[in-house]
Amino acid sequence: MSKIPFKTRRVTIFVGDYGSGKTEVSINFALALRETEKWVKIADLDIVNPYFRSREAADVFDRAGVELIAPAGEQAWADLPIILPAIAGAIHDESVKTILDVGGDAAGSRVLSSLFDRVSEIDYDLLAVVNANRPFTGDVASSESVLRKIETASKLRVTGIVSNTHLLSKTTPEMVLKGVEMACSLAKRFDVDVRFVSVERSVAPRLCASSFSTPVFSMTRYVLLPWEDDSTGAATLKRGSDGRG
Amino acid sequence: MAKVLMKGNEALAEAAIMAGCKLFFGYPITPQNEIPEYLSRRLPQVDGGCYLQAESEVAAANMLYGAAGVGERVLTSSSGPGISLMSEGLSYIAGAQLPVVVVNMVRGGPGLGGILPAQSDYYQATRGLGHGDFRVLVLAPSTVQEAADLVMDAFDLADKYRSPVMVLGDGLIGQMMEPVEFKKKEKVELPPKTWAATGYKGDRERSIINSLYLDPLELEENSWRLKARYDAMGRDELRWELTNCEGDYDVLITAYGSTARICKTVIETLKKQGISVGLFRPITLFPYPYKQLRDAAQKAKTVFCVEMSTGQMLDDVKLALEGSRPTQFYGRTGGIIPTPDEIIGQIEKILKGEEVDKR
Repeated sequence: MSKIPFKTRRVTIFVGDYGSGKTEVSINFALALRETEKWVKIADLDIVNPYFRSREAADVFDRAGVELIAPAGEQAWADLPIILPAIAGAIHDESVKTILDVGGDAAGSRVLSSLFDRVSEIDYDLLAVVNANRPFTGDVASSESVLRKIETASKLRVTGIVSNTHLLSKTTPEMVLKGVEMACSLAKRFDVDVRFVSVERSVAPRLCASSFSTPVFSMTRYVLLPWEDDSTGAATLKRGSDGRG
Repeated sequence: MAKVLMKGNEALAEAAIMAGCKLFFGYPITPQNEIPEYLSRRLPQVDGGCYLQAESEVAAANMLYGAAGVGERVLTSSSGPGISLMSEGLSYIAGAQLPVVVVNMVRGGPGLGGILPAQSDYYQATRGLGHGDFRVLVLAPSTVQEAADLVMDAFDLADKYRSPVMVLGDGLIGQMMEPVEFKKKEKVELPPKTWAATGYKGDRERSIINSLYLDPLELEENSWRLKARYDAMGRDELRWELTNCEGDYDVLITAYGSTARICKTVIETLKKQGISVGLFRPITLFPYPYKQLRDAAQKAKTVFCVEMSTGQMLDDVKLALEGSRPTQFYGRTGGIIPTPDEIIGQIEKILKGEEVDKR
């Protein structure tokens, strides 16, 4: 398990454009946090995506002792904007470290504006996940535009960038490096730093550590396709009668 | 162009733009919402581009009719319930011989069903898209790259046959992300759209877009004209893929779309155990590659059809085999995706001469 390379706040919120990798980052972040923290909750706040949400890793969280806040039963498979009261509870609970996996784009982030109405009372990080290989976030200007819209919709400020540039199994170290360069320029525009570079476990050892100073957070893919190898015990799109995989 | 990471829905949408489509009319429904979402961001950047969310699928289908009638390339996308609503308009479009491209990212049905992937609209796509004597060419991708490539082809095929073309995916094809590359297609020589209603100036015959033929002989003529095109599609447009069919095999799997992806994992796993199984994947579902399937089945003792439905393509498989080989069927539906292990278990039963489970 990769260590989290910075001092975490009580609430960590992951935002970003559609498909930037918020869910995989959130799952890995929650599991890493659980290594040092007694009580970790992850809230699946994805109200815009119908599949591949962090609730699909329910089994993984269960085994690791991370508490998942997500619609249960039949509602787990709904495409409805369900905001559970337990999320507000977790945000204001001083005894727990909470991770929010927020839906893509400004549309998905709007939900934050109501949850953080008493924002000054909350010790939080708003980390923007960016993948330079995704459409609409391929360069600094377009990424900035997406993140500004997220800031407006959520009424919160970005406090850090997560460089998550990848191309699944076709990821190369050069690609990751280019992504970091873009993330650094992007971070400057928001006057924040790049908190970490997230890379899949198999790519991490191939990175030349001296080529950049940003800490590396090595990740395992947990949300897999039905035909992918799930020897890691990851959550594929498996269905169970209880709606929790 | 470098590879980008895209959802199937996004890749389809970008491919439509690359194919010269500037018009999208539709209405939201899961699991295809990324198509309108993407195009609402992208089409305003395209010269002459227009993204319009209609008040309903019924309206969207009629907007398609209008846009295609003036000779423009036009796209809509939906999922099961929305396609049902469009079916009247699509029948008019087919009757009026208009080229349009329709994407169906299938979810579980019938009725509102659920939002998870299914292949239960096979009958609707290949046999019952609307009233009257008409069919549409149906293309079924199994990867994000193929989804993009087929959409580009779909526009050319629609123009070539003056017919609606459907790209039939399932929720998984729409939602999963894969690297995709947009290759500029070679320009296909297509007949000029002399029939388009572009404004009468007295220098040609009037172009009238119409599906009403009160004279029965004219209506019959129109139906046989369409039938001749479907026959031509059956001759010239068949697409299929064979996997692991070079050597010998006792079992030949038939599956399409994302189910075929799962079956490929099955084939790889069984290979390691010394068991050789073939896969026939139709890419055109209408016209169906009947002869090609029958030929591939020659080496097999059993043809095993796997679908995310209760058995719809199975009808075409039986038509293809003409009773020459026994068939077995395994299906999951309602949003349940069969796992590779599940399918391997069924193949083991077939090899032991047992009946497979119904589901």
